[in-house]
Amino acid sequence: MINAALMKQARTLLDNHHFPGMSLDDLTKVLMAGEVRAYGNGAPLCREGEPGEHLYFLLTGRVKVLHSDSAGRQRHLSNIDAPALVGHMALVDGSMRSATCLVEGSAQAVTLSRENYGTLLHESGTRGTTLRRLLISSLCSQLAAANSHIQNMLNPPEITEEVEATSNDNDAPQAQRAGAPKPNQRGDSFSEKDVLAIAAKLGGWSSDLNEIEELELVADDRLQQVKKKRRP
Amino acid sequence: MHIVDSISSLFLFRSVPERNLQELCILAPPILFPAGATIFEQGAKADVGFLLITGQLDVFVQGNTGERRMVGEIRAGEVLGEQALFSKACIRTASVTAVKDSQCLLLSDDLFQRGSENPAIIAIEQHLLGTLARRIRRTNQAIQKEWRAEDIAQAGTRELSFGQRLRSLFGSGR
Repeated sequence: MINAALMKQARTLLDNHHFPGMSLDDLTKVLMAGEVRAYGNGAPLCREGEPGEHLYFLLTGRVKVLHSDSAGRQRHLSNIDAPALVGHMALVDGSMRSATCLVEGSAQAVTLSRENYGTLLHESGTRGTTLRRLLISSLCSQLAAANSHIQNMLNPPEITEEVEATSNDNDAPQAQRAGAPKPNQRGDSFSEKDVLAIAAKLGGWSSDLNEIEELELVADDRLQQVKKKRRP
Repeated sequence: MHIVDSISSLFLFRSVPERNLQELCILAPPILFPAGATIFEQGAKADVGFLLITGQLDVFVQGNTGERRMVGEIRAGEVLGEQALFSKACIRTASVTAVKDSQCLLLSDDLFQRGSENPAIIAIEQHLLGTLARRIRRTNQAIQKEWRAEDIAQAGTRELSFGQRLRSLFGSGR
């Protein structure tokens, strides 16, 4: 018998995924193979380095994804908002958990044990087909997001005043405050006075701002120089 | 070599009975792309994926500056363009061309719907799960590598930044 409450949750999951032969009834049957659980703030769904014992269909709430860097610090990788699949990678390829997932606020999820997952995954019927295709769809989205993340790291988008005014995203690059010294690529920041003092001592020039039309300090890995133009 | 023989020699179909592979070939007759042919172009709307049976394909990406770079190659047994079937409103993010004469199975929505209980389709789905998981892990490793590079750069900056070196030489204007 189809569970009406789960069917409602299955509909929101389907709205966020796309795969051939999508069926609400079949996805509801997949969810019915798991167990609905509620989680409080900070509850771990999985911890990095541990074996994967469950897959989660996050029905409501948000999960924070943390990953350790080479120095052992926990970095905030991303947030996962319901409806979504969480913790499926370790079950798909049998590897250890690659990240820690903590609930933010409160959340509700259907948990599917490794054993049930294995049974469903190899089924040739509609439940197995739906689970496999939902997983593929979720992994496709995850891969696209990871590719986008690394592209942004390699080619960060230019920071604009508009971003500064509206961004609340923890993952967004730190916005440059208007009027503050602008950092160069290596993170140094220079006030106008710093630049004038350095330039004056380098060239024996006057540090009087009125005499100087344009002063630019170029801090570059290959070229480190001070440029100055005087008023005619 | 007959096409079913080529398909059955692929690792992903190792446990699929021949009659199911024959049925697969009826549902999705293989397409031959001669050497140099374009399989799909970056920016094009996508609604099908491909499974390479024989031959070899190259993947190219064109950047904002118009420069075209080869970013990978695809060998027999690999699936490409699967996002078209498993993502909404998919656009190709790369161009793919045949390096030599190549045979592909067209993975369409219709094939997955009509052949959903065929063990060959189930094998493709399981193969895709493993492939995607591997690609995600590889991308995550690249992200970690970038983090390490950032850490090294920041550590270098902490030791003696360019600004600090300048200030130590010339003093601060503050």
